Amino acid sequence: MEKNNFRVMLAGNPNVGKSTLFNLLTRKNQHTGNWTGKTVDFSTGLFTYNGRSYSLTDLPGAYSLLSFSPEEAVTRDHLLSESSDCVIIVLDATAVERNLRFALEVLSVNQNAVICLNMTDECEKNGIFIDSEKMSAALGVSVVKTSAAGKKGIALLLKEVEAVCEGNKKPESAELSLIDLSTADSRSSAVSLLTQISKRIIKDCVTIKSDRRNESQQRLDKLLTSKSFGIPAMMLLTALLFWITLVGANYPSEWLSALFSLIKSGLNELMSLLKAPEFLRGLLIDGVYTTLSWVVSVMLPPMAIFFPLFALIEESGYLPRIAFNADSAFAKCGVNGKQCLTMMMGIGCNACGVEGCRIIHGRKERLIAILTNTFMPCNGRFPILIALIAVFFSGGAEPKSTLLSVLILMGITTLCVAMTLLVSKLLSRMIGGDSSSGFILELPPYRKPRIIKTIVNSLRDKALKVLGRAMLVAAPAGAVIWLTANISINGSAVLDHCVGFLEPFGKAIGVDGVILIAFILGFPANETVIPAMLMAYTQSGTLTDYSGYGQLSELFSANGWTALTAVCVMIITVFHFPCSTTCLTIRKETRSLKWTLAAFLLPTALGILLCAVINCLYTIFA
Amino acid sequence: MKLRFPLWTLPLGKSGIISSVNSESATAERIRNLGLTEGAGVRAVFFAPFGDPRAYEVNRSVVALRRKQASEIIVETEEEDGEKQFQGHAGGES
Ligand SMILES: Nc1nc2c(ncn2[C@@H]2O[C@H](COP(=O)(O)OP(=O)(O)OP(=O)(O)O)[C@@H](O)[C@H]2O)c(=O)[nH]1
Ligand SMILES: [Mg+2]
Repeated sequence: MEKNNFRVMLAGNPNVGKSTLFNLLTRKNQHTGNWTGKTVDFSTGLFTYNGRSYSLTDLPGAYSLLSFSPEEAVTRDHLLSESSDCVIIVLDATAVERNLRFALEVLSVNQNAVICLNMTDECEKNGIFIDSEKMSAALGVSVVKTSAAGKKGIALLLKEVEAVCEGNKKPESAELSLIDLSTADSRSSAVSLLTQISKRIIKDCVTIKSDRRNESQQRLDKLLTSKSFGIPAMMLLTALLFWITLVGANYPSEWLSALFSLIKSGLNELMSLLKAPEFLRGLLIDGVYTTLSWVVSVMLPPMAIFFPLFALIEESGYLPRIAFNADSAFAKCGVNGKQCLTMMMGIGCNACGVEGCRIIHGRKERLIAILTNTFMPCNGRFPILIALIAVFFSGGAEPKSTLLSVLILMGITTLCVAMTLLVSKLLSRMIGGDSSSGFILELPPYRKPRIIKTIVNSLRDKALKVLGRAMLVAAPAGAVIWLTANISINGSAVLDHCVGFLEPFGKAIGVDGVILIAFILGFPANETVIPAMLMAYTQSGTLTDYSGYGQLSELFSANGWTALTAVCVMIITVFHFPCSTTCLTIRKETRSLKWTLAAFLLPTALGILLCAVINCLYTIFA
Repeated sequence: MKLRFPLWTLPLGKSGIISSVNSESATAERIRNLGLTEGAGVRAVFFAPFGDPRAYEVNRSVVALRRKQASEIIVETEEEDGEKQFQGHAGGES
């Protein structure tokens, strides 16, 4: 970092728009979402203003500097220990009473600050009028009204930030500097003083017409949490999401694989023109290129449809309502309804889901949420399920088979949730430790998402992620798989030796050696599981063009797959050891090798058990 | 006359004033941080499909609480006219 950088931090209650503001200023792509606890770790970006460069840190939301939850601790530690030139205290103007208290806490430790009254676009609708000049006079620091989503008031905000950084603005509140939050003794008197000051400022500077939310918000909440409609609405929305994903992904998948096989034949010709040795051609084209193109053409389209839609739902504020509706089931299993939120993040990426478990306060509840997070199929595994369903249970694009696919996918999701609950319940009995931390969750207002922005951001994010992983992990993995399939020891390929070794075990649980090897080779990235199977099955170790699901089905059947095999593979897809990135994250979050190992073994054992049970049932009844 | 009872028993659509938060200290702190402090007006706005948790409105924001937490918060209401502090909005639903 350059020396003359000014250092600026964003602090505030959860869900007030800090990350939105951060993205706007730094042109970065931090995740935002309409629920409390979206950001659980800090991140830093740069921006320039008036020729000076600034480094901006986005902190997780905190309700208070006196709290003890892990994500709030990140914020407190930064505010107390890091030296910064200016803190931007972001407040949700529509909940100014609660937000102001936090602002006062921050000001009592650091008065080099600017208050950013965000969400002012929603104020009028809610009947709130704030006199920012009066408030500024009362607090001794500048107060700027903004709308991060509407990009309003940003210029003024930056001007004030510059003034504070340059030292042109000296804080003027003697009252606040008297407050001492640092020692336990002074704390309780400090807290009551803060409450007093905050009440006075609200009375002087804010006009509030009503303590009620507006009517439409209330009606929507009544509907979406009602006895008769709450749960069906949740199911319907999930089904709709799956349906759009399946229908939409079909065509681009076909186009992409057609395009890739065209390029492939071009590359092959080029190789023969260059008189490249067969070994090199095989490694580069049959190994690396084909794996890469498989990952892109099969993985990318469903993800590029599913996740933007999911992001829209997330921005609307519906996710915390799902947690609210589902909490009683989680309560019965001795865990926290917020686990529901971390499970939904896990669908995007289990590593993110595991990190997100910081929003769960109870130590034991959080640990259980971490251990079971991989029960939700992440974006590397979701497309495997979709491909297998298409191949074995409902080929074709006509509405009837799509409907069937949706139902199967819903069934798998139900199994995932059921297993999460069941295992959580068992773990909660087995693991000793603190009792329930209860369920205390803010339900934010519904907001109309900025549709284009949300879709573009999430598309860019997902596409980059899938492509990045394809390049960094799938391509080398492709090379490794090709090598194992083409280098022989004692007359047969290395891969065949491994397959032969695992074959008996595979057979015992209804799959085969190739499938097990594919999952083991998929440890760095589950995206490579199916390409690895294909390479192992085709004898030469080449992945010929499996552009359509039809050819896939032929190859699988030729290698002895039945519908039962497909079911077992789907079960193992969901229930097996977490990928390497997730393992590292679990290690980091639990700070324990023992629990990381548990997180590794638990889903693996469950997968084996489920497959064994299904095979037993099958032999008994069929 | 004033009535005092746990927030959990506040009927749907009714409101009261918080008179104390009796949870153990860490939980009480989190509850207060969300705006449910002594003296604040709360209202029971909607219940989860299976009755627990329940959602309470305070200063236009909504907080979900399980039975345990909501039972540890004591509210008081005027016997007849519990919604006086919300002029014009009383008793929207039943
Ligand atoms: N109407 C309106 N919505 C906004 C504004 N700023 C942000 N939002 C929305 O508010 C929600 C929360 O924004 P985030 O930026 O994720 O909030 P955050 O403060 O980073 O939240 P945490 O990471 O949970 O602490 C998102 O749905 C945003 O689109 C604004 O000025 N007006
Ligand atoms: Mg954030």
